[in-house]
Amino acid sequence: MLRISTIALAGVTLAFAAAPALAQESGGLPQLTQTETFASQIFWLVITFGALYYIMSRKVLPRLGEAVEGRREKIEDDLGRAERLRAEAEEVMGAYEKALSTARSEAGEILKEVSDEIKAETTQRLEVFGREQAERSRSEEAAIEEAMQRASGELAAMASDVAQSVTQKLIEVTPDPTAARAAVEEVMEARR
Amino acid sequence: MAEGAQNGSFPVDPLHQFEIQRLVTVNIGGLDLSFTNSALWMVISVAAITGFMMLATSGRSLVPGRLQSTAEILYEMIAGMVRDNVGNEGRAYFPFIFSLFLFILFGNLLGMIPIGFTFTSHLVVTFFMAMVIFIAVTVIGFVRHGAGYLRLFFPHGAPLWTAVILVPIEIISYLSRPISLSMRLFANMMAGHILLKVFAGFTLLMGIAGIIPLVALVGITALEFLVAVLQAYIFTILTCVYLHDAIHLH
Repeated sequence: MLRISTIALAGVTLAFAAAPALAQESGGLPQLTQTETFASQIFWLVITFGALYYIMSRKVLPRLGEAVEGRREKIEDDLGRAERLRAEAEEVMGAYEKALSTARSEAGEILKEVSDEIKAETTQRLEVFGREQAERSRSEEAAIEEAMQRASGELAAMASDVAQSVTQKLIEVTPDPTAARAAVEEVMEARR
Repeated sequence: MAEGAQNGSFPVDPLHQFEIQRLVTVNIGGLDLSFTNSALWMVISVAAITGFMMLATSGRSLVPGRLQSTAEILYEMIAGMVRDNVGNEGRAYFPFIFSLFLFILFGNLLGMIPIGFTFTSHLVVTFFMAMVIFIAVTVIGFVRHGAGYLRLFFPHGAPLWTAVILVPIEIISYLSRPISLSMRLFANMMAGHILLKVFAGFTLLMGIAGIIPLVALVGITALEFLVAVLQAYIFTILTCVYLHDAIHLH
């Protein structure tokens, strides 16, 4: 900038230095000597600049402003919409994740409940089964015991009968049934 | 030019390009308001700006094409300049600043066309623009702040006794604003165009050795395009700075 103004200044100096010499032919700087054209220059300057100002302010600048601002608005609008959509998507995502975690915990709960139920029922059934089983085995045992007792009683009676008849056949003596019985029972007792 | 060469003097008249020529004589109430070459190039500038802008904004598509992009870059640049230098209150002046920048820019650039005329190289044009801006800014300042606008001439917080020195300096610098604003643009444009013509004259004078000033001429032409854009920018941004002072008082 400084260099340009230096050159310009040099040029002006040169021009003004040269002006008197050149003025011999042309009669000085037209800018300063043609004073009769000043009114015309100002007049046309006002007319042309006025027209330019009118056209710029009424036609061109509103159009340009519309284009520039319209674009800025459009961009801001688009950015805003994108931002809004992003927020919406994030919201949906959050809702989805929340629903998913709720569903997961609910499923876990249900699973736990069902398994608890199953466990309780199994325990109960096992208990019932065990009880039934014990009862049944007890009654079976009693029956066996009874059968055995009956069998052993019949065995004793049979044995004393056999003993009486054997004694009858061998020595022609009919033993006392009570004594025979007692003897058989004594032997059985001893064998047991 | 030819007569100059015959006389054995400098082959081109560097000041000839600045001469105002009447194209259509207009005289209203004894006032010479003729349509001149200067007025013609003002009209061409306005027509070129309008044509370009109308074409660029005819589609107004969401994804801009080349023309629309260029127009939008200009729009964003000037809008940014007004916003940064004047603030939100500057919105009302945006159309003026925008028109001002384009008017000077196209005036400077169209003046680079060899047959063209640079109306910004005339002091009366730049001075009138600067004066309008100066008066408008001063009016805006007084309307906004009343007599408080005079505080502009005394920096806030300075010791009171310095007013004796500071106030005259501030007043002088304030009053010289239109002069510096208009002189900067006028002198830059005029000097550049004179320089081009002088080097062109050297090229003609020096025969085969004229290649040297010709090379310089190419460089200066490039520089002049830079100056054309830069001076339009400086004029506009200084206008914004003055507006800022009027609205915010420093």
